[in-house]
This record gives sequence, C-alpha cells and structure tokens, in this order.
Amino acid sequence: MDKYITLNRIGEGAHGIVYKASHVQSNEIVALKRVHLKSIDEGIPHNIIREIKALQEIEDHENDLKPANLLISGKGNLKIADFGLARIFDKVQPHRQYSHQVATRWYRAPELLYGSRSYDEGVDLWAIGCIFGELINRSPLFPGESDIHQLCCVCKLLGTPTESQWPEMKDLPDYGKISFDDVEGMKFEDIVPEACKDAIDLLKRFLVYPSKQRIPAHQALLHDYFYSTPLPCHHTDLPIPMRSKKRHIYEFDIKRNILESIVDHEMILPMNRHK
Amino acid sequence: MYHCSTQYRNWTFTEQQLKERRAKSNADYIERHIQERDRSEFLTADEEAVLLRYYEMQMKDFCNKFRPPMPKMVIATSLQYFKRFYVRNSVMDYHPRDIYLICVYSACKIDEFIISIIDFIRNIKNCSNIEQTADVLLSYELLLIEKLDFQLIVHNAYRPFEGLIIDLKTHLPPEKVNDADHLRMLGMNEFLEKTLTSDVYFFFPPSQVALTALVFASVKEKVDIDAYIVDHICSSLDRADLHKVKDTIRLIASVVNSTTPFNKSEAKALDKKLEKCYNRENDPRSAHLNKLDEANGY
Repeated sequence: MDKYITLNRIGEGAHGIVYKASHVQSNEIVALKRVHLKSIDEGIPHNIIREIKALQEIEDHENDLKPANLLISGKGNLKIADFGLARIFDKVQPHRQYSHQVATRWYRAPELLYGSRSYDEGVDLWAIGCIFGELINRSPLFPGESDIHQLCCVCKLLGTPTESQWPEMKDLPDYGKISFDDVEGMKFEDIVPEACKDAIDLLKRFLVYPSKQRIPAHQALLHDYFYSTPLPCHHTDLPIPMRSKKRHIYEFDIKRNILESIVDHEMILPMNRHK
Repeated sequence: MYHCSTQYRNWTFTEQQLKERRAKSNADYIERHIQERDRSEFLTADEEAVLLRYYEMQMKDFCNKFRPPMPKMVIATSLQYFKRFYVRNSVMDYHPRDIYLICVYSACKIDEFIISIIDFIRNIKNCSNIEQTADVLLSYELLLIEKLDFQLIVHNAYRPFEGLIIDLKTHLPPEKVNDADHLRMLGMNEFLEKTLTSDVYFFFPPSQVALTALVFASVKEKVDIDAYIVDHICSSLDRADLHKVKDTIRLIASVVNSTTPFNKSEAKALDKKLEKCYNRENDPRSAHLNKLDEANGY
C-alpha cells in the first residue's frame, strides 16, 4: 500500500470501497479497491476472481472499438461493450449463417494489419475515425474482406503510404511481405461527400498512418467540429433509439451444446450451392 | 482476438527462450541456497523437467478421477497454470505436490466450476486432515495468482477445435457429416489430450493447434478433408504461405508428440532428492510445525 497515496473515496460497493489513488513512483492515477474479506473459508472470493478476470478481458480486448460494440441505452447513454465471440442464433431464420469473425477488421489500424505488436492508443483513435466516417456515410469506409484486402481498401482511399509520410512502416513485422501499387488516394471531400468542412478536417486528423500523429482524444474534443452549428446537444436531449417490438427474438448463447448448435444441413446446403 | 491477449504478449516464447527461462529459475534457486548444501544435492534443470512431467501426470489423473466430473476446460486451464508457474519458479522453491492442487482448485474457481474447498479436498487420496489441508492449500492461492501476474484467462485449443468441427460440418456433404463427429472424438482424445501436458501453448496460437488436431484426426481416420482445408481454411493463401501452414502443422505435431521422456522409478528417486533440497520456508506446513514447537516451548 505504501506504493500509493490515496486521494479520495470514489465509491462503495457490496464487496469493498474504491479509492482514487496516485502511484508514488509514476504519479499515475489509479483506482484501488479495498476488499472486505468476511469469510475466507473458500480462499479468495469468487467475485474477486471474476473482477480480476474482467480486468484482464479489458486488457486483452482493449482495441475492439467498432459500431457493433457501441450500445445506446434506453436513456440515450452511449456504452462501449464487447461481445467478443458471442454469436447470434436467430430463431426466426435458423438457417442463416453468421460469420465467425465479426467485422473487427474494418476498424483495425494499419500498423496492426502490418503485424505490429507494440501498438498504442493510436489504434483506438484510428477506429474512432473509421466509426466517425461510417456515421457520416452510413456505410463502412474500409470494408476489407481479408486482412490484405483491408490494407488495399485503406490505400485506395488514403493513398499508398510513402516512407517519408510513415517512416516507422518499414520496421513493422509484416512490412515487405505485402506490397501495394502506388496509388494517390482520394480527396476526403470525395470519401465523405456529405460531410461539412470541419467534419472532414477532424476525420483527416484521425485517419493518418503514423499512430503518434493521430489527434489525441482530448484534443479532438476541442476541435471546431464540436463548436460550430449544429452544436452537440445535451445528452438528455439525445433522440432515444426506438425499442424494437420484436424483442427476445435473439438469444445470445455461447455455451450451447455442440450438437444443438449445429445448423441443419438440409437448410444450409441449398444455400451453399447458390454461392 | 488472440493477438491482443496476454497469452500472446507475455506467455509465448521461442523454444530457446523457454529453455533459458526454466534454466534461469533453476540456477537462481541454487545460487540463493548454495550455502545450505552441496551443489550435487540440488536438482538440475533437466531433473526438474522430469519431476514436473511426473506431477503433470498425477495432476491429470487427479482431474480425470475428480467427482463431480471436471470439464475439460478446467483441466486444460489447471495444467497451463502449473506450467506457467514453473517457467518462472524452481520446483525446489515451491513443492509441486502443493502447487498442482492449488492450480486445479484455482482453475475450478476461475472457470466457474464451483466446488467448495471441502468437497475439493475429499478428492485427494489419503488425506487425513481436511482442515489443515484446506489451510495449506488456500495459503498458496494468492501466491499462485501473483506468480501468474494476475493473468487468469488462458486459451487452449478445445474451443477453436469445436469451431472447426462445426464449420467442417457445414461444408461436408450430408452423407459424410458423421465423419466430422469421428474426427471430433479422435482429435480430442488422441491429440488435444496430449497438448495439455506439452509445451505447445507456449509456442503456438490455439487456433493453429486446433487445426493440427483436425488434420491429425483426418489422417488417422483416413477421412479426406483436403478440399475443405484448401477451399475454406487456406483459400486466401498463396503457395508459399500454404507451405508455411503445412510446416507449422508439422512443427505443432512434433512438439505435442515430443514430451519429456521419463520413467517412474527415476521420477520417484528425484522426488526423494527434492524432499531434501526443497525450500521449507515456503512450505506452510513447516510454519505450522514451528508454531506448534513454539507453543510446546521448544
């Protein structure tokens, strides 16, 4: 505990008190949870284990920003979720197949596509740019069908990266394994034709090849786009998504018995033949 | 997203790195305790490997006989905890007879196979004092989690293997769907089972291990799935990459099949050697004895 200085109490839950604290050596602000151990007959309580696991999940999946993981609650709040490997079984159309890999690829930063292992928060900023562009266009900016095609899509719109533009590129693990014809790329005015000038400028600052040059989140929030009309509304004034009348159609089930989860072959085969 | 996982970032090594790390754990222990006894009385890194294999076998046996029956995922997680623990720690520092049990107990809790410590201990053969054993075991729990760097989620090949089988079924002609079930059983029982005590998860992603299990089963069962693999798994790859995949499969198969050889009498002899040179300071039983001694005025 002497590695930290507690600053103040943030909250209290059923299982412990959470403090805001600062790490003495690095000055980093952290949250500390002090856990009540009422009965330790069974060792570390199960809920604590689950919390440690959850933290690891967050760490493991830190870079999975995509529209499918963005939820708008009934009160209009945006929540970032992670459905990870959850798959949807549609009872109405049981023969519909869902792809194994949800389109995370479309939002992957170029350094990841080149196999980088030492990436930073820039991958999230890239994803935000992709999502922002998609909101404007109502269709994904880079709908790659494979990892290589993904890079292709990016190059087609933004132009093939040059060494002067992105010097770190040649050090990436998969650089050289993949090469693309030099293309110039498109004008942002043509990529997002309906966007206003400020939106285009903000988008441009997210979608740049070198991760370090992408606009940091706190700066993005100060961008003119957010201070020109139409101004952002207060979150209580946000339009709330309509509730679907057909609730409970989808059932999320990831632990289903393998036999039950197998799709009926008679129904799939004709579909495959049409491919 | 395996590539974002802590397993990939922190627990994947080259063969050489893994060997060096284990050798370092062994050397570090000897260096710290060289004053206590002659160098020849310590276990060597190779001897540690034999002993670990011996305890992995006991661990597997314990899990397979466990009542209520323990899910495969839990067994896989426990063995991986055990292996990770001894990458960074010497067998002599923490006795594997305790560590293997706490690995299994923790894996049960973490993989949501909920069982009370008492019911857990009832599964241990010849356990006379349930309460003391519970104390001993639980005293290791935080240590284990710390030594695992709080990285409790581990990935094995069972889930991707099931995924491959489901996918294969959707691409086989209807009269051949039963083949996939045979491949599933064979791949699980004769290949994935062996991965658990091998080092393969330190080297390769689980998805590739799963693919190897499928290929292994198809060769053994003489079911031709080449078309499926070429058209559906490797369709986007060119010739050179296809060769790489083949090489990887071969490598994985050889890692899985080349586990440390050992014979039981050798292992038992080493177990006796360990009894003399292991670190009693880390054994909660000796602390317990010390307390008793103090209480009795010794």
